[in-house]
Amino acid sequence: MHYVKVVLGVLLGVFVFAFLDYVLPSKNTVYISSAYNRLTDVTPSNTMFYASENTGTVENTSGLRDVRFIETVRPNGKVFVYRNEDTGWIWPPYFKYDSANLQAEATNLRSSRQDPQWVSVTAYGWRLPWLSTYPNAISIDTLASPSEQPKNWPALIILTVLFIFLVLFWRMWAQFRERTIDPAIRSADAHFDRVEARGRSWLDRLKGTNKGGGK
Amino acid sequence: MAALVRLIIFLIIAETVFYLLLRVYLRSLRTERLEDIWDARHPDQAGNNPARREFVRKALVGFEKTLKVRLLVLVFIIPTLAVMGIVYLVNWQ
Repeated sequence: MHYVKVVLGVLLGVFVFAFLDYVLPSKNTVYISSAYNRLTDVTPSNTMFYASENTGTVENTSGLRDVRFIETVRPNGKVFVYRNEDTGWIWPPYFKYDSANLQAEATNLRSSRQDPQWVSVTAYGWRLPWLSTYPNAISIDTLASPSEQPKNWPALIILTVLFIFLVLFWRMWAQFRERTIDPAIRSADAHFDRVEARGRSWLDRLKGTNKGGGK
Repeated sequence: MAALVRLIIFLIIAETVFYLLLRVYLRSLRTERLEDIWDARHPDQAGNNPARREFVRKALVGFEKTLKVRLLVLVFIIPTLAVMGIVYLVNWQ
């Protein structure tokens, strides 16, 4: 039982970490090499890594979605590809509706290896090549140099709020337990004890009469 | 548009549930505090008894009108403002 608890706890921890890692915004310093849109097959296996349907993305009759992409290059020379999709009013709650504007911004900031215009792209999601998933870009800010590291304030604020909620719910649960569950258990216990005592006295009497009868 | 309506409905349901939970929690904290006060004032009548229950009931009259409980309305205001803030920051920057 102890090992089951440990394994479940570790799994929960990994799940929570992965969930936050996927949903929280992260910032990357890159320069944009290209911005375009391409018909993309959103299959059942990777549909959870794309925006929900009917949030502004166009889908043709054969189910291909016209997704905007932003191709970037990191300071170490490795490439990174973002998608640029509206999240709409649905999950995750970024309420993004300006993917067309963001795409225009990305196109405007395109630069080459000879004269890179460094930008900080805020995005959420994972790049999983084997599932063809891409992080969704949220905003683009220009940087003076690639060594500049803007603080990820949104993620810090969200984590702080989540931590406060965790402590609050823990306190609320402790209070509920102390004031409602424990007294209920105690009164149930007392009731059970009374019933048991009554039963025992009845048994004793039974035994007593038996003894009496035996005499 | 339907998605926006759904978001508003979900937000209102979540806020209401959280509001009620917080209210029960604050009331429970206050009740416990009052019981401790009674026990400190009347060491001879400590513990759960009719006199203490009556004292707590009387002291909790008007609890809904205290500033603390009134400020709970913020549970409906702050998340709504936060959503509007996110909409602004993501789309108009």
